[in-house]
Amino acid sequence: MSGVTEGTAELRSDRGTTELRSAPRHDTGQDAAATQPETDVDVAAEGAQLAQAIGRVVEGKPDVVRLALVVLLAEGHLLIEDVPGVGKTTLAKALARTIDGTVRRIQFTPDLLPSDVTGVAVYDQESRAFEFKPGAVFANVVVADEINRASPKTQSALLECMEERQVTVDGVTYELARPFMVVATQNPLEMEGTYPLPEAQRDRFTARVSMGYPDRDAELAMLGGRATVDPLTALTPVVDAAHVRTLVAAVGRLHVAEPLRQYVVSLVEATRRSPDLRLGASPRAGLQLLRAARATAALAGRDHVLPDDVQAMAVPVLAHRLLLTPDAALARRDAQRVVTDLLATVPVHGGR
Amino acid sequence: MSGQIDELPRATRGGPGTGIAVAVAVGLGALALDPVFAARTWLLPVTMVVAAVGLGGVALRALLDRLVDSAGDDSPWWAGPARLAVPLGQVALVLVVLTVVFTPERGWAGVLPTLGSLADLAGLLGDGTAEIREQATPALPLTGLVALTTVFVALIALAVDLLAVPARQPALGGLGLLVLYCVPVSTVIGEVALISFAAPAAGFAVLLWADQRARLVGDARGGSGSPMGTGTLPALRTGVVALVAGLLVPAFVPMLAEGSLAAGLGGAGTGNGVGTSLDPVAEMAGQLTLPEPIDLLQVDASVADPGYLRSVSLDEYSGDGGWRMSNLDGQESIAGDRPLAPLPDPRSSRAVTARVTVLQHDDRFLPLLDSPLSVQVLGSEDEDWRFDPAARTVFGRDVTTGGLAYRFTAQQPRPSTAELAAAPLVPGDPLVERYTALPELDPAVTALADQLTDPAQSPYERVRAVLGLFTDPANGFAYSLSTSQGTTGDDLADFLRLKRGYCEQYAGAMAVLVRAAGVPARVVLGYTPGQVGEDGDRVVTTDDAHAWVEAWFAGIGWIPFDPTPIAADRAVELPWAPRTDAVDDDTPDTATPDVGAPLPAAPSAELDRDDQYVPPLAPQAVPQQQLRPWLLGAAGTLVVLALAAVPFAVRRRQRAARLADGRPGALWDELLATTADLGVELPGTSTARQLALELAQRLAATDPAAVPAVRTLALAQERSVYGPPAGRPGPDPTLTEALTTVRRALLRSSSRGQRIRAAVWPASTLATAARWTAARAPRRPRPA
Repeated sequence: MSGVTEGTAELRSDRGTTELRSAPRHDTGQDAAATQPETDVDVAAEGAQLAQAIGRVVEGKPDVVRLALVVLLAEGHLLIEDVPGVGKTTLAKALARTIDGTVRRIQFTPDLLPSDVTGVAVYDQESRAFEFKPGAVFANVVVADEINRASPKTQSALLECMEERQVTVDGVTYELARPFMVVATQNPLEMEGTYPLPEAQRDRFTARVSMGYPDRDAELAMLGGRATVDPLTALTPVVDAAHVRTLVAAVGRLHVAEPLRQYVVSLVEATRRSPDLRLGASPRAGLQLLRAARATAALAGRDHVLPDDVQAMAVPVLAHRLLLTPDAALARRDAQRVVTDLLATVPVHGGR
Repeated sequence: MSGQIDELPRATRGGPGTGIAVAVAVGLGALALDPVFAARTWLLPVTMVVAAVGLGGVALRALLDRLVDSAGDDSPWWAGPARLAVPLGQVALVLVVLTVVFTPERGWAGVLPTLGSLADLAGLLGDGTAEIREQATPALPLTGLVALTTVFVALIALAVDLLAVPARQPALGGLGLLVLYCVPVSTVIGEVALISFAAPAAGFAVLLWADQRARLVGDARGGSGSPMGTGTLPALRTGVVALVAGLLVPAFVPMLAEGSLAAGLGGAGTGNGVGTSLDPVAEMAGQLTLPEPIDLLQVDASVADPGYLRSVSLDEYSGDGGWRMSNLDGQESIAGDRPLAPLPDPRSSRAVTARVTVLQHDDRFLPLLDSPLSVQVLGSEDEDWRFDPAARTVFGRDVTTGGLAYRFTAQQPRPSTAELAAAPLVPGDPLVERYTALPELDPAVTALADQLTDPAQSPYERVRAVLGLFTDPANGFAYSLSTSQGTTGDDLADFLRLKRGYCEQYAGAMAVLVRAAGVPARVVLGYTPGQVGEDGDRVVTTDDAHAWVEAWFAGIGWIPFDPTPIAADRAVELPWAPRTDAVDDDTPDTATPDVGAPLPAAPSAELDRDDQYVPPLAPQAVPQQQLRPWLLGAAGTLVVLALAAVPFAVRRRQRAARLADGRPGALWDELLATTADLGVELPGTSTARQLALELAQRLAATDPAAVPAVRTLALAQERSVYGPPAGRPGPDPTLTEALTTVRRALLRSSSRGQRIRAAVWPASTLATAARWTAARAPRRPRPA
């Protein structure tokens, strides 16, 4: 199991495997949502708590923290893309830590095998039968570090799990935990021996975010604090996995008006028509954009989604899925810019 | 806030695109004048002034913007006045062009206008005014006329430029093009050429395209790609709609103009006859009269008293429309040996031959002596000339008499009084049925006919009795160039009561009365035989145009009767209808009908009335009545004003309706409309929150109270559109109040000019129309 670091002191990995062994097809997420009484969950307040907790570790990056929470509540996956050392892994860990759920971390390397990710059936001498050893994806939060270092084969094994939320090994399908969130980090620098995620594969990620360098004050504070104690260790869980499911269900109940759906479709269509783009956004992109907007609205404490939410999510949700035309690339335009421009040309339905 | 102040001078920037579009549009619109002129020499100066206005405006504005930019961050104090100077600069450029083209010899260096050159120009324009009066269309492009046209187009170009660029209402510039289109419509005789219609329409499309483009460029914050082509389709669409509307509306306008004014009895008709369409232009031509008679025909007849020259007969009477011609039967050509219209009884007739040389006569109908037996037209194919036996008219198929000569033989009826008196009435004869048909008459007219005639009388006696009404001096009928305005509403009854009129009224009235008495009758238009010239030939002039009556007698045929008291030297002696009142009066009969009784267009423009045998190209034609153009101009101005007031009225209604509605959506729409009216730039892609934020920033300095009001409105709007149906807010007086607050604050923060513009030309109504079309424009997916 090279490259997979079992959760050490901070990660309670054993619990996840126990659960799995007893009930491989236990669909916790949907049952919980179904049986959950329609109580009023204050998503905004709890989201603020979560953000505050993560913010203690990832200092000076409230927007990034917020986006990570949005992706969590939208049941999506997050791709963090930035240069080394700006706190990608810290964010992922902090997010995992605040949720009282199972967390696994996979360090992607070129020799990582798909079975390391999904799990493998091994022959048990005692019971004289094959027994399934779950891989690293069997957790509520999976931190996929430096995903572009692994071979495409292993990458796609993970990406399949992400989309289907289940693992099939030797003809047996194992349901993954709920919530299930992959936080992948990727190093944008061209390095030898990396396999950057193809744009089409990036479509699986709900949002991509860049950490960016912290501002001067945050960096100073970090130097002061980190010198003595790692703030991650001081982090205690704020919610448990079951409660996250409640929150996700509450987000799903948010009202989405017809004009808003039209606006989302217009935006997605506009990416397909844009002369700067070789590949526009997929229908899945539209779906995830609306989910992310819902989560944004819920975090803002509203019971309905606004075009403002969609606009706020458009760049992180759409930009990493788009392929620029060579002309646009030569003109040094980037996908973020194209999406921003589209926002400025697509009329808001019903709002005006 | 400094950023916004910086925006203000830039507000003048419609971009060079709009300025150029204005030049192109007005240039296209000016092409509408093409049919007005006989040659194209007018085009160059007109193009030059249009270019001077359009491109000069672009250059001056670019220069101004550059100056303002170089003055630094803040708007310099002179930016406002300098903007006003742009039109003045354009006027100066136009004056330079005018100097170069028309008065280079008096101008400074041939280029710059001086007092002397301006005086010359004023003189030229005066000449132009005179030339307009003297010329009929298509006019010769004489210098004065061209100068006047150039100034006219320059003024329109200036107006359109002002509307399109600083006022940012390119669509309203269409009014200028409308004015250009009105010129050929109101002056050209006959159908207006396609270019007069198509060119301004294309220009309008260009303006709309510019408008659309300006709007899109304004909306996109440095958007990707150039939206140049985006507005083309809506612009084209609107252009087509405008074109169709433009085609349909004029079809109804002439009815308005003529229905109430038609007072003459004579040949009125609406598109019946030979198919010339109803045409306001023909009516204009009817106002052209002649101070000097024009020689029309030279007649060399075999007899000394050839009698009336008949052109055409009017055989249908409709109470309101007067007498008109039914459709002519064009089956029979004049070729061949068969006699055309032999009399039933050739014994009481005399043969006449005549040769007619056409001088300035130009008409479809050949003036012939009655009753023609054979006609030879020299210099034209016989097949081109057709004979209608019922009307006994020879007419050209697509040819006119201009420049021809023709020879004919005729059989003139010369019945004795006894023969006529012996002619019986043949009831049931289809001819009798046809020529005694009358609409329902005014009871006074029927009573008069009953009083004059007696069913026991022979047809001839009845006709004589009716004739006596007009010719007996005791009855008080008098010749007058105009009819007196009556009160009964029936022109015929008015004439019979007031007893004033000219040949047309006399002939028309007599024919009606004769028909009412049961005798077939019709009105005939033609000429009295004219005066004998030095060489013995008779010369027929425009003064000889005349109308009289023909009555039909069984076994004898059509016999002429003339009820009009015309001058003795013109009268034709008709032995069966002696006149007792032959006045020795040299008042020309033709003369001019009063403008108070303008006559509707007839089957053919030239056939409208007896006195209207006017060669359409007669260069001496001078409009006799100056009042009419003024009236037309005033009416046009009123129409334009009414059109200009439409957006204002629409906007007012809209506001009242929205305030009465009171729901957040309506109030929000009203708020946005107000900002659009005031020229506050708000991108259409912003959400309610973003717009509210922008407005709040704008108003925070001048009116802090408006900020929470804007916020209230935006939140209510947001919730009403996107919120769950249960929580949607309904009409709320506090919202209406908030709107009032914001509106007041907006007005207060705007300049006076903006407020006036908002009231007079609310941009929102036009933008709504534009958005409506844009929203319905089909979107084609672009291949990736």
